[in-house]
Amino acid sequence: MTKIGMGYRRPLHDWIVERSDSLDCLEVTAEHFFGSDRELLGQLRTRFPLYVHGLGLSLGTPGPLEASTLEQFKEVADSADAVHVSEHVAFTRSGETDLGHLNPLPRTEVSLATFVEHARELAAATGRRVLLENITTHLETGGELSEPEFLNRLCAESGCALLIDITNLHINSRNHNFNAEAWFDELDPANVAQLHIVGYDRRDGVYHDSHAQPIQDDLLALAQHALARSPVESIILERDQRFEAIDEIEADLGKLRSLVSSIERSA
Amino acid sequence: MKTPAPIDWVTAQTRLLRDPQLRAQFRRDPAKLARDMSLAPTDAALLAQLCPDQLDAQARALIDKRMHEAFQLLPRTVANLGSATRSLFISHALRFWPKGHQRHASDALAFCRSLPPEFRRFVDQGEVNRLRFRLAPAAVRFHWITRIGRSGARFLGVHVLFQLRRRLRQFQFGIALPE
Repeated sequence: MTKIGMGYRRPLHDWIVERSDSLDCLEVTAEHFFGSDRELLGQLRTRFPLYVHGLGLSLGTPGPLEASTLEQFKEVADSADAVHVSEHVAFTRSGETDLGHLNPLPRTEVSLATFVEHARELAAATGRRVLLENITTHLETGGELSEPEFLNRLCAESGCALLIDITNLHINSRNHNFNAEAWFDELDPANVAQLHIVGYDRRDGVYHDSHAQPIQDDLLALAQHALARSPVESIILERDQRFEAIDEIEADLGKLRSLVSSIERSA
Repeated sequence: MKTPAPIDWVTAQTRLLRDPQLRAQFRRDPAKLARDMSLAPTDAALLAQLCPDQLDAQARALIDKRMHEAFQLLPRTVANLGSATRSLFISHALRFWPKGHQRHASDALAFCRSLPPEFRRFVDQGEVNRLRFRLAPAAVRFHWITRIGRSGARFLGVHVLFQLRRRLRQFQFGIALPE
């Protein structure tokens, strides 16, 4: 049975605790717990299976992972007794500058080798299964491999699995004009272990991942496509803005629950 | 002329994303800039194929995300600064790149400190105190406040910040001064 969960955010804490029966699992952001609030993680893990999701390990940066960041990440994963850990197929910094947000790399053998090495390093450091997530980007970086080929190779060579962000995939497909379902069908379905989803924004004809909107129908259709093809263990609803719209969040969780039920009934 | 040390793709892309002047050079002659950066030949060829408009869009998105995070920590200051806020933040953001997991708070604090003198009176001292507390937590901390409020009405008081049950608590007391 595919679990339905939320990305844990502090403004949602009281609601999450009160409505714990409507959530099967939680995803916590590693960096939000660096150096603090391990006690809170201990409390959350008694109520929910926890996944630890990273934003700043910068797996695409050549050279060893930053030791202090990796150590703090590991401490959070241990405190959460994480079911798995996840990060992004991206870089956030070079040796000179921390850009602070996710950026794409060209899909070359060289960058593949960097990601494979770092996925293994993360798995070894945390002692946990690693899931890697597709990002949204305005910049097409090219390379000799297609994105699904790159992800398939990454899983095969590192032993990691995939966290497919349905919203990122949809946004990229609209902004860069490709077919999202065909993209998904090129993935090895056995590698897809988790989905992220949240509504998108559209401004001046460009799609954005502002993590602020209810899930739109075209996202649900793409999630249905993914669920019908892959052994997805969990779906995480990500919401980073407009936390006051609890009714929207509850409605989104209901939609995901209905979707999973319909897929499982028809299976 | 000394040949620059070879750099990797991530360093090259990062330099392009943080530097509008370098992106302007790239727009004029991508192949030349890729060669000048001393990238490996395969990386140089890929870099030269990047779309300048997409590079600009990605660079804008990075600044917009930073701005969004910083402004969530500075709602009163942003309201006080009004329409000037965005251009002031962009000017700050191109000169300063925060590091580490507290980067949003660092960015917001550095933004306040970067403001030209004529804009500093719009900074909400209470928000700055909260950022300082967040970046260097203590059991309790006291700050003098000499100005508060959107209108800039004069106020002399004390801002007390402390942690209770893992949450920042705070209160202020003082007196309003005659204009």
